Amino acid sequence: MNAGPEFLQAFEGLSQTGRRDLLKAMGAGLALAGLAGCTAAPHPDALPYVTQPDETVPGTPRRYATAVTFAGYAQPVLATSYEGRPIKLDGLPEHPACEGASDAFTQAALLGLYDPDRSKAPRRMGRPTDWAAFDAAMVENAARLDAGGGEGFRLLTGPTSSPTFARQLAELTARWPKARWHVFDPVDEDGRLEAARLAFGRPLELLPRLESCRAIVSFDDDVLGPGPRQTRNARAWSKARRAFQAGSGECRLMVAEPAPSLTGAMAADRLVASADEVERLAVALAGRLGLGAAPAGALTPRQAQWLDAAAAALTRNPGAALVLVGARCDPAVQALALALNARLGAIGKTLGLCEPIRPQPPDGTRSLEALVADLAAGRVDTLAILDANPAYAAPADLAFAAAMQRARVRIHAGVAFDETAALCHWHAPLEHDLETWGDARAVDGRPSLIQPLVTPFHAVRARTVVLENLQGRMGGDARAILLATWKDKLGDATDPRWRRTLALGFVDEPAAESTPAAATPAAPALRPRGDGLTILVHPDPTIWDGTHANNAWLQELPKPFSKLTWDNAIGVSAALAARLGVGNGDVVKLSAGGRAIQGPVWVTPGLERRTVVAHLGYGRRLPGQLGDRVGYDAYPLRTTAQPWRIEGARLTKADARMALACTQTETDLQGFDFVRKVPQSATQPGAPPKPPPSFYPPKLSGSPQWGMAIDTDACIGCNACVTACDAENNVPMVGKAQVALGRQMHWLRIDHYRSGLGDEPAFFHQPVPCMHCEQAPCEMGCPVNASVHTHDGLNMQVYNRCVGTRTCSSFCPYKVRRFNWFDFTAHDPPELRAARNPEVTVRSRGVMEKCNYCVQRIEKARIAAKVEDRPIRDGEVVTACQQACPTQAIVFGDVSDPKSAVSRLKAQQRNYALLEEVNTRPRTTYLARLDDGAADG
Amino acid sequence: MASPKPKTPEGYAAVTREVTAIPLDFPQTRAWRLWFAAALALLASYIVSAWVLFVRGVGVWGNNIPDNWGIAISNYIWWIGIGHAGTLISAMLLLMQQHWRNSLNRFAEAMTLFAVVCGGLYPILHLGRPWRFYWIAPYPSTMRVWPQFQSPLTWDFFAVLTYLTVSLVFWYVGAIPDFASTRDRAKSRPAQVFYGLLALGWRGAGRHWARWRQAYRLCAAIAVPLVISVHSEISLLFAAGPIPGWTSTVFPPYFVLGAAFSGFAVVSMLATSLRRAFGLYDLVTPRHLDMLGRLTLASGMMTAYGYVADTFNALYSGEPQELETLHDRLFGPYAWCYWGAVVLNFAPLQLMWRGDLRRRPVVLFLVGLSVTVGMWLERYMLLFSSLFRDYLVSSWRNYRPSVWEWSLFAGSIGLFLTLFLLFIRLLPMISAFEIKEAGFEEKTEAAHG
Amino acid sequence: MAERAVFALVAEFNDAETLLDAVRRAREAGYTRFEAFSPFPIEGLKEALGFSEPWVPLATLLGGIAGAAIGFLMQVYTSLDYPIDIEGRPTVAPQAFMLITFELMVLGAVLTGVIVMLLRCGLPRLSHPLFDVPTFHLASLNRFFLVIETADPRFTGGTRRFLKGLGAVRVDAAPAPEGAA
Repeated sequence: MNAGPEFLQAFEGLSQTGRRDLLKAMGAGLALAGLAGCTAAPHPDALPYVTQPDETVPGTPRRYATAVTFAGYAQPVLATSYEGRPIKLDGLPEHPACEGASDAFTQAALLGLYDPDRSKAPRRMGRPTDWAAFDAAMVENAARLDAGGGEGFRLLTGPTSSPTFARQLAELTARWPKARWHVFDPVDEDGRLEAARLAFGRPLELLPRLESCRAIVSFDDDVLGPGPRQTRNARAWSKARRAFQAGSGECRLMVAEPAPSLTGAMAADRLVASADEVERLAVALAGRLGLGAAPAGALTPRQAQWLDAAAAALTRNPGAALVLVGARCDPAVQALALALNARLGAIGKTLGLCEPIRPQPPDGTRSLEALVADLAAGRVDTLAILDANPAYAAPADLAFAAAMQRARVRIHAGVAFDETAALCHWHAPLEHDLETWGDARAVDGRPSLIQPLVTPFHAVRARTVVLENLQGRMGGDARAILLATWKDKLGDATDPRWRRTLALGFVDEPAAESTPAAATPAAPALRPRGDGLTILVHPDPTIWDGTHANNAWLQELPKPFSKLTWDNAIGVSAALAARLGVGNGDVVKLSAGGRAIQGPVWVTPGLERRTVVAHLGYGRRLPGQLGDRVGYDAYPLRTTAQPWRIEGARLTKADARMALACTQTETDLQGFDFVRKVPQSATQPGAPPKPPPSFYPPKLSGSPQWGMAIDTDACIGCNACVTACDAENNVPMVGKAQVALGRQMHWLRIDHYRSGLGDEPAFFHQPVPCMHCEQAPCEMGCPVNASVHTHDGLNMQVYNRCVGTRTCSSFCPYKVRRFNWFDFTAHDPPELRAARNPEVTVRSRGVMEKCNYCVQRIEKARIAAKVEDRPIRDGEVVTACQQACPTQAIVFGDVSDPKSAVSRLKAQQRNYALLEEVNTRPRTTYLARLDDGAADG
Repeated sequence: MASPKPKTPEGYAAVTREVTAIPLDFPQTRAWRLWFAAALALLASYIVSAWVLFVRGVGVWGNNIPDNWGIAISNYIWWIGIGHAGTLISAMLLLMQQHWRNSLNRFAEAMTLFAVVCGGLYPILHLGRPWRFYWIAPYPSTMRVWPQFQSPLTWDFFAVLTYLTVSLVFWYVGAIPDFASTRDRAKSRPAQVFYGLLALGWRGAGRHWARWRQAYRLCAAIAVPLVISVHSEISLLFAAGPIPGWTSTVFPPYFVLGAAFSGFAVVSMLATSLRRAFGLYDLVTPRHLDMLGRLTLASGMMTAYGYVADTFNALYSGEPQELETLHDRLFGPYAWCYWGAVVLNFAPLQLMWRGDLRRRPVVLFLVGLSVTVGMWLERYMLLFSSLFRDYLVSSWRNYRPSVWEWSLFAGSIGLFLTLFLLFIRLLPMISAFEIKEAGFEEKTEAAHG
Repeated sequence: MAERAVFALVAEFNDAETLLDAVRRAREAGYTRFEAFSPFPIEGLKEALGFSEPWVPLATLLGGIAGAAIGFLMQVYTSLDYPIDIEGRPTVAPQAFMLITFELMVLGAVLTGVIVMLLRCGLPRLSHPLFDVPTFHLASLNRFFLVIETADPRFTGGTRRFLKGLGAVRVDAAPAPEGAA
């Protein structure tokens, strides 16, 4: 029986309305007034992070150490909560995997808790029902399965590293020996495990230690790019970079890649080469270093020069070198690289190896194929899908949506009612990580305990509980289930070990590393590409595999290179675009192997000429939800054989145009010096700058005087700061139409520039908050004293005084001010109101707003210092962007104190003010990027 | 040739009768009704546009960051600029004893008043919170915050308010004697009461004339520097900021001259139209048209110099950003309004070198029209060519006015027409008594030698 | 209407020159309470009437000074009353204050000048005995009048003849308003 299509059709009508309005409408229509006020209750059993003020004191935040999961890994967070309302997530300072930093996904996970489109009640055949009905059905079904020892029961989950899940799974398989577990991850890393198997005889997970690398050669491995490991890797790399800045050794990053990546943007030398050329180069490098034979075919001079530099850098730094090959490259090539790393003595030093942190299903990397095969053969009676969305994301050739209909009973459990849920008999809504009990391992293997900050808003259940229900056990207490997993190690709920660990947020046991001997793998069979184009399929930098499609913060977060919001595009090189006669926004048909998709073109500088990039995660079919039908769906292109790289593709022009909402219309630097490259010596302290000429005596004196330094040599453009700012300062999201008009509201933007018009432009990222000019033109422009300067050097915007002449913005040379063209906040649904930071004013229509250096945090520190009758300590005030930054590129503090961290940075020769010639005397200054290309051996 | 001046009692009577007959016994009722209906239709568009704006917010316009200001502000500058001609004609020429002005000053001043009203409303409409516009005025508020007197906007607020008041007073004082003569000619009781009230009981007593003259000439003497100050201040709205293409000391004179230029153009259009509509051939003579042509030409050439000076400044400064802006003006996406302004402002203007063309009403009207449009383009160009691409490449973005901005602009023209049509229908649009005075003085001069 | 008291005698002249001459002669004859009326200001009439008063220019000057002072002091006071750092400029910035000072000077000058002018002329005054003279409306068209009030100490029965002698085309009596002595 096929129930799916009807549900989809039933919702067709809704998808016509504007998404933002829809979001409002949904919110308004919801019967959860409970959320509107402070009635959200903190979870009674949750344990705060450190000693906290009494909760009965209103307006005092509580902090909890917990974790949110991403791609099955735990992202350890320190969550801030007011009156039981979580309002901010930040990295857990004590956790070695993040050290207090975070990424955009972790920051935005908060909004998932308040998503008005969340699934709020169980459904049967897509129609709301109650848990009793669900339980009854499960009991009956379990009884049936018991008879056959679980014959025909299949559990399909997303990737997970949860020890509790492992325990429950063991119990389940003990009870139902014939039951089988499958895993589906649209952004899998099967290639890596396969490579490890080739090189070491068994699948192992790689733990790169970039902090101890002085030379990294990356073959299309976006090690600094978006993903579960970004925070850890970026943090580690920034340590190596700092050492280089300090003059100890080098920090050489060589990248060969077909499409621009955050890693490539930071490379000392970025070589643009097609995917197959990249693999050939990897083999060639191995050959250079005496591993295997050089590949057939000659290298171009440019390739040779790059390869020489790479080889030199690696040999220059024995024991501190690392070769990386992307997880989506040929496993044989990756295996070769692992062997090369072994030869370079990297294993155990710059590269750790451990058992997979996310346990592998019985069928290993072919898990989903096995499931589909069984479905087709009618061997599946009950299909339970937990936290996975194969109906949307499964490879096209598996035709999963059709195959799953063969299962007799289909049960879906997830936070959202998604494409897969629409095809199931039963849907069980799950708790968000911030309202549930659970556990998961971080990317370094350390298990995190997930504890609820708030009692669930809706009739939802924990994953672990639903897993119990599937076996016919009604109800169930998630905390008890979790305790059961950890009782040997941590004892019961009253045990101090449990309480301590819960408060700390994680168990300090990193993954056990092994250093197996590497077998010299067979030379990879290189497949030079034929005619036609190469499609590279990438997860989206802000929406990932589609999991975050309903998250407004991530939808409106500009992509690092294209600066697109609310859409994915088909990236093509300028040369290819010219040949096809298409430009940004022109719709094209991208076809390969009889499959085709349609999407708008985005001309991407630095993209290999014959390569086309498609991003996953869009084109969701979530009737009535924010993420419904945004962008195009790239999944139909993928097959089990070619999930990431599709050769022989064709691109044809479709006679249509699409309006794209881009936040930066021009990225060519045009020879300006907004971003700069200087030699390493420029990190030395320079002569104190003499005060620029002025008619007036200096006004700002006394201490503190606030200022900021942003190190463009460390900034990788990961967007964590932008999302953190959105969350901290209640920045409204305005929707695609308004962004297209140039009305995005981000207080902090990351300008992206490229210099050099060739095929290999240099890329720069430059975070631009308000400059807090000492001589701010905006202040002179304002007729009503709404834009004024404070004694401690902040340029403040007084919202309730502003009448909206916009002169301040007209006069602002940096255009960092944002205007409320409409009433962007008045119609927010109650959930979104609940997510707001109570310490920051919500702005109304017709007023100007902008970055204020997180003045609420400054005031907090000032009051604390006054109470204790002491000056504010250096580092006591941390802005939201600074707190989130994984590479610590943003430093904030008192510039009147020469010993403060920010002053010491500003003292470096490479410190410069943006648009110094305008003589606005910005308090925010930049540290020029270091040019380490000079040190070629 | 000199216009036939009334030098005899019959002549005096003829002038006054011709002028006062228009409001008292309106000759063009049908045509006027048609025009008035059209004007009211446009006015309706003004009201609707403003209503939508107030209800929904400035977002209904095409503005964005960096194009914070739309045609609302360029229209503001354009309207106020047009206004300047009236005051200049009546005040400056009065002080220079240019009697020929007497046929033009009354409706030129009225034009000033209405243009300033149209312009002055724009800054209020463009606010994010228009209902709070009065916060720009200094009054003891609960916030205890005062206006920021170093802001060009605060300067504008005072400048425009002063300009409006002074123009109104000057125009009214100058019209009192003609209100009196209209009162004395009026037959119907309501008309007598209406003009009687306006005339304040003026009887034409010698001593009154003496004081009136003192006051009127003093007003004129003060009005001239006022006019210059007003548009200089408006230019500071741009020039005071650090934005390339704006921060230039040439802006104040550049704006004032442009203002006079556009104003004279509009006066030329009005003069030729009214002359034809009401057959005022012996009051608005070819000599007047000739003079208007000369004025337009002179101010036009000075404005042209402003263009040259502005370009030179950019080139001379050598600032990359300034050069970028110059390049954008000449060749960028807004080049059409730059070249449009250059062509419409200065190409037809060259016809004004020839006296016979100056005296031909059609030619003068068309040149006036071309300049009016050209100056609108200039204001538009000056605003956007700087805003849409200022310093940081990353914040570049184009701007397109929304339909609501255009409808509001059309509406403001409707507002102007409505007021002006009411003026010509109800009030003596030409200063009769000053024409008579001029005639008398010429006679006595002739007698004395 | 013979029993109604006479307010003044109204002599009508055809042209301005005769009026000027008449005014001079009336003054020589020692009349004080007399006034000339014309449809437009006549060069020399002021002198003929012996009119010289400084009020209007004086008021304009004082008004201007007052306006400027108020303007400048207002800006200084408000800046000091709630001092705010604006672009690092001095709190009291005379250069920036000059424009508004100038505007308010203009406003003060013009308004006081015009108001004093009206006050000195006793305007507005909507009803006046002269309006009862049937021909007086010509004063705003093309006729010129010399009016000598009966309240003038030198007023006699001979005044009418005197006026006729000045070349008046006609002389009328303007009746005093009802209830007047």
